Amino acid sequence: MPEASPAAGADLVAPVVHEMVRILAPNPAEVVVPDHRLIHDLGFHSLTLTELAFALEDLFGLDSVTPEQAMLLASVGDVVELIEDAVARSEAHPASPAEVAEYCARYGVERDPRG
Amino acid sequence: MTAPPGPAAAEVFAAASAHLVAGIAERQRILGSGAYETAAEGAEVRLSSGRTVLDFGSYAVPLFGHRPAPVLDAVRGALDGMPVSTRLLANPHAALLAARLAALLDPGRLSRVSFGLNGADAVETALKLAIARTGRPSVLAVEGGFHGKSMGALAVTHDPLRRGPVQGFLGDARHVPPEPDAVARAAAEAPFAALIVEPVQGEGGGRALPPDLLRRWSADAHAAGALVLADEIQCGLRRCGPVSVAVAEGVRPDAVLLGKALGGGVMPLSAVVGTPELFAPLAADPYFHTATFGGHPASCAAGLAALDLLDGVAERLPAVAAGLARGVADLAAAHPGIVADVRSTGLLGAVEFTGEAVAGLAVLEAGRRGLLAAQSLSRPAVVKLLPPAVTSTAQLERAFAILDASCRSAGRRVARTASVGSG
Repeated sequence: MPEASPAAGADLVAPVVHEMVRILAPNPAEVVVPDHRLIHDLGFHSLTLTELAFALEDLFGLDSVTPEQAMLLASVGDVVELIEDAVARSEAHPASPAEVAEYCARYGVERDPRG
Repeated sequence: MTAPPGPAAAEVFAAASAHLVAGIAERQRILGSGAYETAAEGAEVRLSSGRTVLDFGSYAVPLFGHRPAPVLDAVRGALDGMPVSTRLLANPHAALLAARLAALLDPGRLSRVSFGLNGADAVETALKLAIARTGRPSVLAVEGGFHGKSMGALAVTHDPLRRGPVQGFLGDARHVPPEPDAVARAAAEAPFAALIVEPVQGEGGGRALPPDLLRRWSADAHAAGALVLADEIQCGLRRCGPVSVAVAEGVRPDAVLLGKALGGGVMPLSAVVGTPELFAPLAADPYFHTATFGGHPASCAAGLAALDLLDGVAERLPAVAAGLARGVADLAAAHPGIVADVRSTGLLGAVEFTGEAVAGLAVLEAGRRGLLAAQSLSRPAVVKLLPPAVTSTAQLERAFAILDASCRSAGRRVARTASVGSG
């Protein structure tokens, strides 16, 4: 079986990031969009940004994201871009659906198919 | 370790954030990776996600492990009989526990007992009795000391951050530095009712005060006509070795304050165990200090069963304490860039990080990996490790493997933050 290219995996990043942002946002939006600003629209702060970083590191196998790096990510789209770039550079891997489902279950929410 | 099905985690955290303290709820969600606590046994806690984590936190309460069977049985017995007291009739559990404590701590000297629920209750009671007994509305405490956050207890707690907003309402307390002549100097400046001191400072960073210093301070306080209150709410009951550290070190305190594990890790219970002299105000006026739930029958039943477990702690303590001491020393050697110092006394270990932020990150990383530990309240660069006495060798090894990985990750974040900051 041929290996999936990293770029193909990168395409799957956005729905997972949107899902985790939806779960963890202090001021949650029913549907998360790329233009949502993490701090101003969704209410993230340093502690909750750390929680988001932990989740994304776990799911995508990312190296440690510092709170300060996370603070530089203004919008949901910026986060998606960061991870897509890491996946494309093979510094992260696409999240497996099973792991995402497990994460959602841990937080007591069902995965939203709208992403 | 089983628990009935509970509410959805999302519902729990939404309710906690909206109606309890939001900042604490957020930390709890991170430490549980989105899940909440549902059941516990021994040194482990089961989460709503089905995951199990090691508990080296819990404010030092589960010294005997979570849900020790003899304590549960004793509490069930009290619940089946009479779980609350009339307060007008004699409560046998409280009377028998008082007698056991008097026989245990310093027989013939510390013979009077008053019960509360939280440790701060014991602090409030002891301070009130000492001030009433001496007629001096002033107290000495120690820099780095922690005695609770209710108004009287906060007056003697050395924590500018938490004292600041209510400063004007706090009673007269002076905090002395850990110097041999500090108490004598303070006595020369102004009279005081009592010196309150933790022989091993818990929230002050797990620091044991030298026995010579404690004995000198006690002698100087007594020479000045003041009383000595040993706050062993965290370090006593064999957490740090002896049942009472102060009594074992020859300090001759006028009271030993107990709490945390006194209720067997099952029920809330604290106690002041003191001399008849300290308790003289209650001889003069029996209702000088009372509280609705003081001497709660189910709590005192738990306390009686807990005291039966102390010998078991003494047997397990050397092995767990040695593993703890070895573990923190290895952490210091492996992470010199972020670990500034380590120490341990019995089952109270402390890892002092180079700063509060990295200590906070290490705690979050550890929780995510399966170990609960907390920063010291008034010295947050220090992470306290409070393993139950029932912690197995394998659990201790697992805990330190988690801490090692957590330090590595926290260190990486700090290093990357520094490079981002300098770039």
